[in-house]
Amino acid sequence: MKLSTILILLGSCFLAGAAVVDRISIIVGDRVIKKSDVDRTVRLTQFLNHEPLSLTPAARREAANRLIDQQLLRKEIESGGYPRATPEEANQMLAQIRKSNYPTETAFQQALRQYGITADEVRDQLLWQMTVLRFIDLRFRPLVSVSDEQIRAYYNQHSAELTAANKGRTLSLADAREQVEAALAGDRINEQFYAWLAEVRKEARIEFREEQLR
Amino acid sequence: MMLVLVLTALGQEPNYEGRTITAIEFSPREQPLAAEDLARAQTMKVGSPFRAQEAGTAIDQLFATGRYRDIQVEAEPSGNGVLVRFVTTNQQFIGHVGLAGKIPYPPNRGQVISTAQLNVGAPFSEADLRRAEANIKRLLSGNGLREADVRTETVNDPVAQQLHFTFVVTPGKRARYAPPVIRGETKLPEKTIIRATGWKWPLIGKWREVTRGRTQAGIQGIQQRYRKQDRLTTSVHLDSLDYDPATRRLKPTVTIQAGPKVEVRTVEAKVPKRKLRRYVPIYQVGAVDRDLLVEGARNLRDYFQSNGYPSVQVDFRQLPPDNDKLIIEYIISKGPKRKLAEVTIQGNRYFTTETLRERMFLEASSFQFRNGRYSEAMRSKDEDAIRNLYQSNGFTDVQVTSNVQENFEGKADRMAVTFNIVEGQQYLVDELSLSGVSQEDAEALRPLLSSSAGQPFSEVSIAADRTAILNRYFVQGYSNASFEWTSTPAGEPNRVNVKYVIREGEQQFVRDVIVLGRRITKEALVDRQITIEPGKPLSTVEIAENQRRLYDLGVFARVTAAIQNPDGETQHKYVVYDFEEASRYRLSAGIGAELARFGGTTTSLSAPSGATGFSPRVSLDLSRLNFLGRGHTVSVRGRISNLQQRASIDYLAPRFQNVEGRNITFTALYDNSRDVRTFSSKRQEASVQVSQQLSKASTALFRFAYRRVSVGDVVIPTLLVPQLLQPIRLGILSANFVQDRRDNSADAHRGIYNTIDVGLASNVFGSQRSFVRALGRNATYHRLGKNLVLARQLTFGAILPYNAPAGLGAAESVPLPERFFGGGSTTHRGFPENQAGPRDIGTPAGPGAEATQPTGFPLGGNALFFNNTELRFPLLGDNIQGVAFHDMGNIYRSLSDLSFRFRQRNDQDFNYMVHAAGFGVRYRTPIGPVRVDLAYSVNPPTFVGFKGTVQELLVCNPNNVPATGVCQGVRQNTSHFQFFFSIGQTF
Repeated sequence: MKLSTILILLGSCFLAGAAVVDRISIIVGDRVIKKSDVDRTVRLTQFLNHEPLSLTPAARREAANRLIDQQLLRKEIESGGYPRATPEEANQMLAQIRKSNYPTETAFQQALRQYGITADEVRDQLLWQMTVLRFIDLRFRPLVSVSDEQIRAYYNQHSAELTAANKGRTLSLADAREQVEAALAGDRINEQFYAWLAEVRKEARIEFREEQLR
Repeated sequence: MMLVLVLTALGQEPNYEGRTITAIEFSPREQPLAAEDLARAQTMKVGSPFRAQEAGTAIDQLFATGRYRDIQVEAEPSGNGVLVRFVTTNQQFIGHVGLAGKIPYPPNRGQVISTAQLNVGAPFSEADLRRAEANIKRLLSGNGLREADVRTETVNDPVAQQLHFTFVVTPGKRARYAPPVIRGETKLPEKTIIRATGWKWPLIGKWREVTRGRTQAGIQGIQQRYRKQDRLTTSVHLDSLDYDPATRRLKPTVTIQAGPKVEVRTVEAKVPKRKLRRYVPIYQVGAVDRDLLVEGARNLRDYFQSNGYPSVQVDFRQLPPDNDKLIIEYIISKGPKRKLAEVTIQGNRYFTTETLRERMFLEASSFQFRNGRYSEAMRSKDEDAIRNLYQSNGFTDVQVTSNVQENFEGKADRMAVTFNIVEGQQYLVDELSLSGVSQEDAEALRPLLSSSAGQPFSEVSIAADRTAILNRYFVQGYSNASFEWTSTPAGEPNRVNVKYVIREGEQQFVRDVIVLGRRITKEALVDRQITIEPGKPLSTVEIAENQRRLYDLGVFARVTAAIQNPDGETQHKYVVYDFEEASRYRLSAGIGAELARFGGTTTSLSAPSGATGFSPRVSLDLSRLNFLGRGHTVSVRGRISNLQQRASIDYLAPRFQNVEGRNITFTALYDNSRDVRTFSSKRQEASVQVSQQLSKASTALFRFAYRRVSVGDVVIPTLLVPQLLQPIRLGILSANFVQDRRDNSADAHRGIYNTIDVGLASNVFGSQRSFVRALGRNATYHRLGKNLVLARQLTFGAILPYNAPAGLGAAESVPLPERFFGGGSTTHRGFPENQAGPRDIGTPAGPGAEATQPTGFPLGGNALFFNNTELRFPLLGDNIQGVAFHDMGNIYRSLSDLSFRFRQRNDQDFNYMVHAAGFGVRYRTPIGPVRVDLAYSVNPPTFVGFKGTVQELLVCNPNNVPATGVCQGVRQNTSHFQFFFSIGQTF
C-alpha cells in the first residue's frame, strides 16, 4: 500500500470519529429494533434457509420489516398471555436441523461461524418461530370454518394436484376430505392473520431512525 | 490501532469485543434519568470487557425508560481498551396546555383545550401538535369561525423535558347561515323545513350565527318535524356547509328522504297514544326495524302484565306500505285480568323473607298497587336478585325458581307467585393463603380481607379483597401490582382453600412534583394542598387526593394530575399538576316569591294571625374568587322583597390554618325583616365564624357576632315601651354542633339528625343584654317494613336572661328579634307562619295605669318546644308519597312556663300544648319532594284581637287622656285548618 493511500485512510479515520457499535434503527410503539437486531435476523434467516450470507441493504430492509411484524406479534402474545413454545421443543428442533443438514458437529459450528451467529441465537429464533405458529393457530383457527361446499369446490378444482401429491393415486372426495380441509383452513388462517397484522401495523407507531431501512 | 482505524475508514465495524472498557461517556453529559434509573438501565462497567450484546441491551433498557427519542452507542480505542459513548436524544413530554385569545362562546375554553387532545405528561411528537391544531381549527370552524387562525407558541422546559403549548386563537367573525339547499324527496314545503331548522330568526327574518350546536339542532329539528307527521323513517343528512368568504355565510346542503307516515295501532286492546310512543322504541330511535318492533312488543307485554294481565300475548305485524302510509299493528290478547294476591318465598333458611323481599320488584296487591306489581321481566329479575344474594354469601349451588299459580284460592281473578329456593350448602373459606408478599405484609393485609377463614366463600368477597389489596399497593407506589386467586376444595366438605397470588411489581417513587399553569394563585396555597413529595412512593391514590384538594379550593376551573412518562420503565417519576385558573368573578341573580299567611296591611290590625300574602323576591350575589391569589372568596349578597331587605359582605377563607374542613368566615350584614307580623326587625351585624368538619357526619361551628338590633313599624301599644323600642347592641359567642347521619338529606328514610346551638350574650362581649340561649333538635328516621318510614323530631329551646336592666322584667329584657318565634310549615303545622306562642294581651303602661287594648299579635317567647311525628308511606306509584302527621308544642313565655297542658285556660293563656294532626302529599322531584300539607289544629289558641286600624287603636288607647276612640276587642282564634305548600320534607 502506498504511503499516500495510508495517509488518506488515516485522514478518513479522523473524519469518521468513533465507530457506531449499535443504534436504534426502528421504533415500534414503546420498543426498538436495533441495527444489531436487523443484522442478526439477516444472518439467522439466511442460515436457516441455507442461503449465502449477504448483508445487502435489500436483505436488511426485508429483515427489518419482518422484525416490525415480530415486535407487534410479541406485544400481542405478551398482552394476550398466549403460551410460548418451551426450550425443550426448540432444542429438539435445533437437533433435527443439525442432524439433517450437517454431518458433524464441526461442520455445524463452522457454518455458525461463517454466518457470525451462535447456536443459542439459532435456538432462540426457533423458539420464537414455534411460539408464533402456536399463537396463529390459537388466535385465528377458531375464526375459520370450512363448509362442505368449499371442500367440494376445492377438490374439483385441485384434483390433479391432489393426485400428484399422493404419488399418482386418485383420492375420492371422502378420502381427500381431511387433506382439503386442512389446506383450506390453512389458507383462511393465513388470510385472517395477514389481515390482522396489516391492521395492527397501520395503527402502530413506527418510526425509522435508519433511513436506508425505509 | 492502525488496523482499527483502517477498518473504520473502510466502513467496516472494528471489533472491540472483549477489550476492556476504559471509560463510559454520555453525550450530552446531562442525562434525563435519575441516577438510580440510569444505573439500572445501563449496566456496562468501566474495567469490564466490552460486549456488543450488552451495548444492545443497554439501548433496549434505556429506550424502555421512555425518556429517549434516539440512542446510539459508539466505541473508540482508548489506550489499551475501549471508550464507550452513549449518544442520546431526549424525548420531550407534553407540559402545560393553555389558550390565549378571546374566543366567543361557543366553544368554551375547556372544549378548545380538550379537543387538542394533548395529554399532560404524555410523550410529545410533532404529529400530536399538528393534530391538535387541526382539531381546534375544526372545532372553531364547526362553530362558524371559519376565518379563525390558530398559532402555537411553544416553550421548552429542558429540566423536566417538557414542552408547554399555548394555542393563540384569533377567532375572526362568526359566519351566518345562508338559505340552505334542500335536496331529495322532502314531502314538506321548503319554508316549513327552514322554519324547523331554527337557523333563521322568526319574524325578523335574519339568518342566525353559525354554531355547531345550532347546526345539529337544525338537523334534529327537521327530523322532529317529520316525526311530528309520524314519518319516522325519514333520513335527514347534512351533506356540506359551504363557506362564502365574501359574504361570510355558510350555506348548508341538506338531503332529505321523507319516509311514509307510520301508524302504530293496537288490535284487541286499547293503548293510549302516549303509552305507545313511550313503549314502542321506533318513536325514540326514528327508524322501523324488526328488532325495535320486537322490543316494543316486549315493553307492551310488561306494561299489560304490570297492569294486571299476566297472561297477555303481544304480537305484531307490518302491513304492506300503502299510499304513503306504513301500518304496524300490535295484536294484544290481554287474557283475563288478575290481581297478584300473594307473593310467597319458600325454602329460605339463611335469609329472612323480609331480607329477600327488600330486593324484589314483585309485590302483592296493596293500596299502592291495586293489582299488585307483576311482569315476567320483574319475576326473572327477582330470581336473579335472590340468586345473587345467596351466591355472594357462599351458596354457590343455590337454585331459585318461581312459579305462577293462577285461579289462586279458587278465584279466577287472582294469582300468586311462589319463589322456590333450594339453598344448597354454604361454602366457607377453610384457609386463606397469601403468596407473593412478605410475612409482614401478609399480616398487615389480612385484617382488610373479607374472605378469611370461616367466612362465606364468594366471588363478591374476593372482588372486594382484590380492591382492598391493590389499593394498598397503589398507595405505596406499586402501580403495577397484580392480583390473582385460585380455590381448591379443603379437607372438610363445603370448605374451600383460597389462595391469593399477589405480584407487587416494582415500587415507584416521586422524582419531583411539577406545578404548571399557576398565574395569580399563590404558590404557598398550592403547595399546601400537595402532600406528595420527592422520594415518597408514587401513590396514585395520593395524587388523586391532592387533585381533589386542589379542586376543593374552588379557584381552578381545571386541575389535571398526571404522571409524566407513565409507561416508561423508570422507578422515579415526575408528578405533574396542570391548572387552569377559574374566572375570578361570579355573578348570580335570582327571582322568586313566597306565598303564605303573612299578609295584611300595616294599617289594619284586624288579622293578627295573618292573611294570605304574596311576596316577590329578587336576589343578586357577586363573588370575587381567589382573592389576592389566596383562595379566599369575597361575596356581596343582596336580597330584596317586601318581607326582607338584606345585604351582606362575606369573606371566606377555606381550610383555615391549612386544616382540612376548617373554614373561617367574616361577615358584615344588614337585615330588615318583617317575617313576624308584629314588627319589623333591623339587624346590623359583624361576625366571625370558624367551622370544622369533624367527620363525614359531624360539624362543629364557633361564632362570635356583634350586632345592633332594633324594631320598627311597631304599632301595638304593648311594644311602645321605650326600652323595647331602643336599639340594642348584642355580643354573642355561640357554639354549634351538627350531626347528620341521614341516608338522604332531602328525603331521609333512615338515620339521625342532631343539632345543638348554645350562645352566650354578655356584657363581657359588649352586650347590652345578657342571656344564655340554647336550641337543640333531634330527628330520627326509621324504616317500618319496606315502604313505611316513621320520622320524628323534637326541638327544644330556651333563652335564659340574666342581669335584666332596671325597669324591665327578665322575660321582656330579651329584645324582640332575639326571641323565639315559631309555627308554620317546618315547626308546627297547627299555626300559620310565626304565629305560635304569647300574644299581645295589652299591658299597663305604668304602675296603676289601665291596660292597653289587646291586639292579639304574636310577641314571641323565651322557650320553645315542638314535637313532630310523621308516618310516610307510598301513595300512588313510585313518585307520590303520603304523610300522616302529628305536631305538638308551642312557644312559651319562659322556660318555667313550659307546659304539656292540653287546654288553654283563658284568652290570655298561651303557655299550653297545641296539637295538630293532618295529612300531606309529597311528589318526588330531583330537587326534593314537593310538599302539600293540610293540618287540623285540635286546640288552636283563642285570643282577643282588635278590629280596626292602627289609628283607631292609638285613639282608643285608654292611657290617652281623654280617651276618644272606641276600643273594639274581638275574640278570635287561629284557624283550625292550616294549609302549606313548599319544597322539601318538613324535617
